[in-house]
Amino acid sequence: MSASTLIKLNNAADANGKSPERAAEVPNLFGPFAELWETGMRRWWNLTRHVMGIDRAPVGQTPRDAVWSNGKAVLYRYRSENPTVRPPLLLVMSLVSRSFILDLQPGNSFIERLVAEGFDVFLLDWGVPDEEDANNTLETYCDELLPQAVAKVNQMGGEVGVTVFGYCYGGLLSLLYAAGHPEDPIRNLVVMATPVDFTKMPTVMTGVGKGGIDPEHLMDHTGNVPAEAVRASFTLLTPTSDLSTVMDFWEHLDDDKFLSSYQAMTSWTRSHIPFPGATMIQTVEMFIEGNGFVTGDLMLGGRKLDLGDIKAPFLNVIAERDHIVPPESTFGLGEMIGSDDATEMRLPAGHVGLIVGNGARKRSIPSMVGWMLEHSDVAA
Amino acid sequence: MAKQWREIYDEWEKAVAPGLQQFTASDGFRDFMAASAKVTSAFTAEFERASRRWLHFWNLPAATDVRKLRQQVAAVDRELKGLKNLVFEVVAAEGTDAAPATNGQSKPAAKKTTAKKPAARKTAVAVEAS
Repeated sequence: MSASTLIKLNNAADANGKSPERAAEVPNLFGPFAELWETGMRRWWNLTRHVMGIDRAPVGQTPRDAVWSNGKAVLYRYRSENPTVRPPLLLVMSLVSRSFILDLQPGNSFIERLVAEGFDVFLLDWGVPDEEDANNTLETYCDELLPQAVAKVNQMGGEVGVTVFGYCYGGLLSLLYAAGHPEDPIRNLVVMATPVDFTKMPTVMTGVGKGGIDPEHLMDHTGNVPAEAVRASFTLLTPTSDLSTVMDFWEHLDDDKFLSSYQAMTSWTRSHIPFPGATMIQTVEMFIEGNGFVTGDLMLGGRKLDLGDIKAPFLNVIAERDHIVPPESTFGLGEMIGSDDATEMRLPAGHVGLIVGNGARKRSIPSMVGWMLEHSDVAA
Repeated sequence: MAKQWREIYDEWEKAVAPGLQQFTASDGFRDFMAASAKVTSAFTAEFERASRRWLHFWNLPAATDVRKLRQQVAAVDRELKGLKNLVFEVVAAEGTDAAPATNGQSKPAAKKTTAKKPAARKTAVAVEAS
């Protein structure tokens, strides 16, 4: 029961059993105070339920089924009455954050929107690594798990190919996979907010490696980079952001809708996941020190990769206000890959704003969906 | 009045944030973080070594032993899954004519589709904020 409901009930009781409409006719001598009282009560109630964890905003609500798994990686298929778009769409999540950002809340969900547009949506969630996954390498993800997941999606989608869609580090994995497996049924490749030129990445993100922090020193007893370290690296990009978030919370504490969005968003920003140790070392060597995409020095499973082997239609989505993966670090990817049909789409959004919020709903998502529809078969 | 505190905070934030960002992005800060990570790591390693010796003295397993064991189990598990996939692929390849493979982990060949192929192009699209 919300505070506002409590107040309405009290008003009704004051009218001695008369209807609420009748109660409203009674002159309210305490008008301004009543408003202050109501706001105060709502703030108090919202603060209580936030602190106590009561009635938390649910996330990841779009119905789905797990259709495949290997280790901690799980492939989900989102339920859809009648998917009209083919090929199926496989979303590849980053290794450092939880996948529910793609399905944040009903009405503010990238996946919900894709399902509504008629896509047959699959999500590859890597799970939360522990000591068993400390030895996972880029080969584990790009040569084992991704090919298996793509094969499964292709099979379930009627063997018409797959649109692979990678977000952030998931885009990097998708690029390596696509370059390393040109024979696989990739119909389209989309990468969003994906780091390419690591010399243009923020120093905080690239301060690991030669002359900086030894990646081995970052690892905890599980052999992975702990989630706290991952989160700290993001916080250091904008050191006052946590405090600003608290200020926003306090300012809008009486707004139920804001609280719901705040809880959903902070539950994501504060729940990063550990980064597998062996993958971290490879990332540092191949990308932070070697800048592999730009220099062309990409090795996977002992073989040299060439982005020129990616021939599928390609979309690179760039967020113009991205402070994690700045736009300048993602430009030019379209020129590096071998596809004749390559598009770089610049959107006025931040790293997360590409898929969450009003801007995403009005501009980013329709633009991306438009490109994908153009490159898919749509049943009448 | 209610939002006055917010305005004060915003002013403060506007004044302080760029400096802080510059500081956290500086070489000095990176060196400090590197040194601090090195010291923490060395301390943890030394503590682990001492506690492991003590536990081994009493013939008890240490956390590092359990970790190694879990990693070995994970490696064996992965190898087993790889072999299983290989077996499925071989069976599927041998029995293609008799019965099609039903296991999703075998890799099917890319199927040619009749989808319209857009004309070759390299384009750049910029969506303006409205």
